[in-house]
Amino acid sequence: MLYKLVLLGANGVGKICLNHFSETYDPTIEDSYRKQVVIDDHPCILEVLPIKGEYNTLRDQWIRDGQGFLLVYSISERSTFERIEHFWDQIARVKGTVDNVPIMLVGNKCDKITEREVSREEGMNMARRLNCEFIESSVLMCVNVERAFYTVVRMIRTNRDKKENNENEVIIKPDPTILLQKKKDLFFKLLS
Amino acid sequence: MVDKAIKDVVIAAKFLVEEKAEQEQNKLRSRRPSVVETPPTKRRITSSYSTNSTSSNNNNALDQIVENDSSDSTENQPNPISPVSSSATTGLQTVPENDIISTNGSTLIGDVSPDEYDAQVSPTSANSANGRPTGNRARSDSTVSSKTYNDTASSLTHPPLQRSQTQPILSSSVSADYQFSPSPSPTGGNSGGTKSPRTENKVTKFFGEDVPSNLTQPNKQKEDKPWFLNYDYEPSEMIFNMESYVKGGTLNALVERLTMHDLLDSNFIATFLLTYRSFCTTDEFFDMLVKRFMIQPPENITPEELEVWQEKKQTPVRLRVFNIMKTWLETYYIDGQDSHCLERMREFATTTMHENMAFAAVSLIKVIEKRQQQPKDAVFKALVLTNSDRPPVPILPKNIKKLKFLDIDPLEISRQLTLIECKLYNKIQPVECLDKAWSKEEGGDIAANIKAMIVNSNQITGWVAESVLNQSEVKKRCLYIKHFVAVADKCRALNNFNSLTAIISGLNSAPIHRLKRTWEMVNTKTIQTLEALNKIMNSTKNFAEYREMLHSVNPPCVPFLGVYLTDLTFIEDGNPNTLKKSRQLINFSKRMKTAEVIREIQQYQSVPYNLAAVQEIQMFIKCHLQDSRDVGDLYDQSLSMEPREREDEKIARLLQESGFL
Repeated sequence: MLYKLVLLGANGVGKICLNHFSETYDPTIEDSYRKQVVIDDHPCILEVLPIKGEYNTLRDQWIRDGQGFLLVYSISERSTFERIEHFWDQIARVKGTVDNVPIMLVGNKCDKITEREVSREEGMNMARRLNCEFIESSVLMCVNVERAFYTVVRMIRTNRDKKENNENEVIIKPDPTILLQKKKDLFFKLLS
Repeated sequence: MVDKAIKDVVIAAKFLVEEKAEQEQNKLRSRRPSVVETPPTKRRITSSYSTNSTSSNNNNALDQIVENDSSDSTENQPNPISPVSSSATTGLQTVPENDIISTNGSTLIGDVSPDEYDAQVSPTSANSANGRPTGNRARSDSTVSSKTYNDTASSLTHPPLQRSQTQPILSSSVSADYQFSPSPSPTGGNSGGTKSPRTENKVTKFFGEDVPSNLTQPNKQKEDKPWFLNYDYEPSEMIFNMESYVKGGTLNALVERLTMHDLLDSNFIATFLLTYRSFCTTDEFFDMLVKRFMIQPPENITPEELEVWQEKKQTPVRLRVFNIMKTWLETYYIDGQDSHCLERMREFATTTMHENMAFAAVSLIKVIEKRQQQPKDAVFKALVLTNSDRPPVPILPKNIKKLKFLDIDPLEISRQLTLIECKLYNKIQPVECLDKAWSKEEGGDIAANIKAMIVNSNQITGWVAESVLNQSEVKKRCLYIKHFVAVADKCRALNNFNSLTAIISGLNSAPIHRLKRTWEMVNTKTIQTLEALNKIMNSTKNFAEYREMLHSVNPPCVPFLGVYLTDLTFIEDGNPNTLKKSRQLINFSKRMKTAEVIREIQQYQSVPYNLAAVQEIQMFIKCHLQDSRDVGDLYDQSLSMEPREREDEKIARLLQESGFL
């Protein structure tokens, strides 16, 4: 199953490091954005796209294609935290609604405790306000990096399952002729 | 003083002859895998990918060498040189092959028109035709009178340099594959029709029994490399990968590899010069080169060994240092940032280098002076249209004074957009691609040109979105969308992928994409075109479709910069700067990857568009490419224009519009 994840964050928050941590890495290879993992016994292919702060081109398209989102900031740089709402707005605009859109707030670089500028509580409060999950991670220490991705994947899967259930209900729903009848009723109601 | 110069020249000539012989042997080895000793450096970018800078150099070098060879043979044939000194034998073994090339070479030169010829060969190289063979004779014949030496010295101040300047740019494999091999090489191809019986004879001779004896000897020599000719760096200072590319090394070892006395890795040199700024400053780099120039003989070396050492190691290394400095000045120098280094280099050239290698110093000073006199912001290499075809006649609207977007032909808009983008793209310098300079706010304007191009792309995107939103009537919005899709499609036809992406981005941006009522009225053909364009720029599989298309189109073209920037960002962030094994070792594989992206960027900078600029339309476009309003504002406008509506609201509206209510 393919999962399209989108990383959003200001420059220098380590978006790509979250994605990758091996010694040699060649992005020009076709599969380099993709990563195969097994989550809860399900084999998954994660396709991760980073969206840069300054470059607008294709941004909305990528967000539209994205199924899950990681909003990344650096705990050692307040300015990156303040940009989070801006990125959240972008998702909201493109998706039209943020209900049921899997979003996760990631406070990266939590190894830099001495340089911390954004407290854990602030992060949690922000997540509550934006109605999304929250985690602090560190690529350097390999803390919670995978967990961040996996949580979003699980959220996408839950949504998918829900949708499938909904689609099952569609069959029970009235067929098009009845719908047309309803529309006609409405039409006459409005006329009268 | 004159004696000194003669000595320099003689040594240099010897070195060059041997170097060439080695290249030829490399070629032989590559042709016969059984005797492969060191795998020749492989160029990862195929020939069609070769960058503009190196390829032009290659051509230059090729012509010069070909020319030299032709003159060689004319000198050699009337006076066949009998083997004299032992060091000359390697050079003489290759005489048959030289002859082949000479015939090819002369036909090649014959094919080139005088104008082109002048453009390809620098003025001084004309001397080299006479100078080199004389040097050759001076080397092989020890009884030449001192008068001849004098003549040689005066006429030789440039010629041997010419060779030495150009040769190092070529990798051993490149020169082997493209220059000297008789059949598949360009020179060989040219000779196809005019092959003389003598040449064929030589070819058979060349491929015949003679070859093994030629091969075995130098191989033996290689194995018996004396201890004092070994490399100076510790084995632990440099690591190679499976394909025998440099994987990592200390700065010391890397600079040594740059100026190796017995090996020329041109791919390595190009990569180093493109990317060294990411791991050391120009000053540090220059210091290392000076240190390398002042190479000292090892301890407990005997006087005879010292002589060999000077000839086989010191002189080659010094010539390499000179070549690197010259190449750096010509191609990799950055005005402003490196200005202070010119003075340092000049001082080095007038003192240390002049004492040891006067002819090189003179040449280097010339290049430095050329750089110092060069006015600021001068375009170093202006793109010149090679074909004399007239550009297509611009399609102008009736009223050029009062332009309206919908009146201008989509093809003409895309042409002018392409000219604007191409100008921005061609300005991008390699240094801007290092260390994500474009995403840093501090650090001055290192990446000014990349930033300008990003701004331009964003402005096009904004222009598209705003133009559509500014139309209060649905029909008008449709017309605008249709017109923009047509422009984007024409951009694709012109291989202008950057404008194409910017335009479809604007059409796909949230404020425009959500205008359902507008999109419903756009005709199917436009929708289909847009979908096809979207598909090209789809991010799936790392832009597989776009990359394939880009690599298949014929230049000129403007690539979508975003993909390069993403690649560079991933390389920068995904790979450590030093190897994990040892923090001392600079991760050179990472720089190889970066250099590959930079080379691809450069590759597309080399071919200009044959289009006529229409100032009025360019001004019109530039007027509209203002910083667009905040996306939030645009979205609000979009909402007020076509509010979100429930199903019943929609029906009510439809009824109202059709006059029922």
